[in-house]
Amino acid sequence: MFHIIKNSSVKTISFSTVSGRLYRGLSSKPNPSEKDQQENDEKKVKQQKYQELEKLQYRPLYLDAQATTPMDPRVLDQMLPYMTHLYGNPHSRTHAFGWESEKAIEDAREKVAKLINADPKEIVFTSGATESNNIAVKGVGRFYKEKKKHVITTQTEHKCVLDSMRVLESEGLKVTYLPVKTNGLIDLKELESVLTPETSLCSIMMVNNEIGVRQPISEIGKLCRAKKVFFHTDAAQSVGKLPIDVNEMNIDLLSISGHKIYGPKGIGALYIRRRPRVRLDPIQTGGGQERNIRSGTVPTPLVVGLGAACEIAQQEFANDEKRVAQLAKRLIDGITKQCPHVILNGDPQARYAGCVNLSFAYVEGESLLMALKDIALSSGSACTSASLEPSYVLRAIGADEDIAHSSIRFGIGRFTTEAEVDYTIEKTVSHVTRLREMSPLWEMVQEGIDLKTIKWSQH
Amino acid sequence: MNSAKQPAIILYRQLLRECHKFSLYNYRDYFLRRVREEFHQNRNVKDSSKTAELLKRGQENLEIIRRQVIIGNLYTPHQRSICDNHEHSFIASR
Ligand SMILES: Cc1ncc(COP(=O)(O)O)c(C=O)c1O
Repeated sequence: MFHIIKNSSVKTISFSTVSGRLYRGLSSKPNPSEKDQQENDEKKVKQQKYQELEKLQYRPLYLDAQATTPMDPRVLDQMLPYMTHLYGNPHSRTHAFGWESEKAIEDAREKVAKLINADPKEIVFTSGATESNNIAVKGVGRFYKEKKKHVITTQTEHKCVLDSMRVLESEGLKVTYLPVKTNGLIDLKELESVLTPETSLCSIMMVNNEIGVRQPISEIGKLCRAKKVFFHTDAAQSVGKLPIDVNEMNIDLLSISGHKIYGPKGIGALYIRRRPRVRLDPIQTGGGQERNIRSGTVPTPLVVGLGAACEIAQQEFANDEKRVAQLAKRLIDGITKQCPHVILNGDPQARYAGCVNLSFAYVEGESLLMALKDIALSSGSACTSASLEPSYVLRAIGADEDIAHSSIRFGIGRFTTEAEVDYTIEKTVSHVTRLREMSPLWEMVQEGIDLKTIKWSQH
Repeated sequence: MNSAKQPAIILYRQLLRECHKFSLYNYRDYFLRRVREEFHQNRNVKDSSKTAELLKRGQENLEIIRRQVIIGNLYTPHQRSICDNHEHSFIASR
């Protein structure tokens, strides 16, 4: 549903239509009755979900750490005073209420900066990684557009980056969507060949949210710096989980999300380098807060929460890393030992351990997800479960349609337990085995028939 | 038992007792594990200024956990985690 079309013809379409089109993957609007039908269906699905909720006997266990993470109680502990008696507007200059909130924000800014080895002055608070990505991509693209009309990204970025790129395209910029190799990584030679004196920005995510692969950020940074191209990285899935040093890695802009690192939802940050200075056109204007880059009253409790989350991530870094790697290994080994024909999507080495995307050949991913209802998981198809299209990320790494359809993402985090992993292994293995026994394809494989030699009738 | 160790042991027991009170399975499991790891890791620290620093941090964490246990228990979910349930029935059936 998310086709990457180079030089597409969306130049004249307004923003909302562009995104609407992207998400539906249709070039024409649905007619009214179709729309009614769609709305009705959505309503039914919602009702079904809510009914499910009422019947819930146990809480499912949570293995979806890439979607969001639970808040760390230590984070909430720091936030609560700012949700009760410390309610001052941090921009109030004339009284103690303002000063104490301002101080809390500056403390938090320092903690965020420290985690990525930046200067606090280089951190701007936003509502999340989506907003940070929008500001970085559109902001830089627009600011330099008179002189430099080219930007670069990859085909496996998060939708908010791809969508911002589409908008730049509609404003007359040229966008290169770099393909990735079958391991999910970009080809540095290919990147080098598309960096031109016309290029203002290169935006490549650090860790992919679906398959967990880790791009060679230092090398990309070096290339971009040498060619005087600003380098933005979406680090929503990697801040606090991988060591990051914006100076060593030559990163010029970096997006952070609070709720992926055990902080609150609705808060994020954007790192913007001061030397050499990165300039950008703000998207939201008004009171001029956050150095004119993001106007609007800064939400003190959320910012305090983000700061606390970053501080804890730094303190717990070694422990989290070891633990997540250990549990991921336990999960992968446990499943693959008992289940043949399981594929780990994405590069086996260059990855963040906590994101395990597995394809179970000859099993329908959606059926498996249904069977694993007491485990909160996500299928490889990032979009709504109603969509039957496989994810654009899996398609970009060249996964076969059936492999893409049979993929499931297991997300392990700070609060995942061994018992949860063992439970997941046991349930996954038993349901995969059961579903395969019901599959005629699996029967053929067992009989030694090579499926590739079979001619399927068109449908 | 030497007297320098006494406060650490008291704190350790207080922390464990408090962590057991987390109503959410994942928080309980995590903090119990972290307290044990932390005390195990620092069990041979002799430097008195270092032990004082560790004790102070432990005391601060104890207070955070106490508050968060209270808040967590004000808003417990209606259902227990499926794994929580398993662990308990596992223990009960032994
Ligand atoms: C890689 C990546 N970028 C951006 C986002 C969006 O972050 P936020 O929810 O903070 O806007 C996500 C989360 O879905 C993500 O995984």
